[in-house]
Amino acid sequence: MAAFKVISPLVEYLEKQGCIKAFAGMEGEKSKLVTLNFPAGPQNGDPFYFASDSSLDYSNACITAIELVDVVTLIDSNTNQGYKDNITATAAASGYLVFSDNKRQEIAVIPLYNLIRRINSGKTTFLKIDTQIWQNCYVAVTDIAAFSPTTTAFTFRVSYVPKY
Amino acid sequence: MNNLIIKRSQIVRAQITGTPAVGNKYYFTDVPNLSRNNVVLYGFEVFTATQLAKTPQNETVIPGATNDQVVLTWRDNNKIEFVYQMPIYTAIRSLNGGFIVLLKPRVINLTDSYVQLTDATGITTNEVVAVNIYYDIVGE
Repeated sequence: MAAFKVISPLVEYLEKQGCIKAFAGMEGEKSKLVTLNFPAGPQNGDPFYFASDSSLDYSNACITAIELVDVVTLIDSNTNQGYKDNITATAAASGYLVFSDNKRQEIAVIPLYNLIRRINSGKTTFLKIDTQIWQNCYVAVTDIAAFSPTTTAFTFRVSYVPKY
Repeated sequence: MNNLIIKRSQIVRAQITGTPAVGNKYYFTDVPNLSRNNVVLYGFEVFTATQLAKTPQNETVIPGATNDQVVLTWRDNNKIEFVYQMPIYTAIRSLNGGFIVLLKPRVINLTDSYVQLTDATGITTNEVVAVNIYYDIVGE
């Protein structure tokens, strides 16, 4: 006899609306590590924009999950300025990630601390972002003194579903 | 078990104005594009300084040690307090197994929603309770 699961009407509704999915569900079809160096002379509140990556623009991908890779998860990453240490969870409390569309309207604002998977009992942060322009997305910090801009970099693991 | 998918999010803040006092209602600050009763809230989470030291507006967030001293109330566009005095500890993701609070989707009145202190110890004037709301836009 086939197994069946009991689902509350509210859970069914939220699933149909794309508001929830199983926490152990698929994060996406593909994922990639994206690094972001601090610009020269970083200031509090400045947007540190990601480099252009058309494979993560809305025309090519729906972003379905994101994880901030902190120094405990991966000690360093290969950036376009060489290997740099990843940031600490403590420093992550002084930064946030912003997804923006092609009009630079904010789609979502998420504190970095929240994106560290190990701190959140292994649960990734699910997204359904499909109007983004990757180079319009950015990280900003509220206390640059909490970071070491010359020796560290931000590393994200971005999961996505290609649209082609 | 399910977890929330972020479609749109915004950090909103309730500022502790004046001398922090137990029982006072500290309303959420106006966010122009979210204050027209045009937001369908389906989840939220709360931050203390452990998760977010300062808001993007450079306001200091309440200390992590005070996470058991604050309750939060959401009101809808009919002024119904559909979440009434929920302890914010329950809504801090990293303290609750990584789960985000899910709600039956509802149009909220942001500036009519508020937080209250049950103990003002360790909370300073002008600090904020920061909340990330996960929402859809009405009619979108």
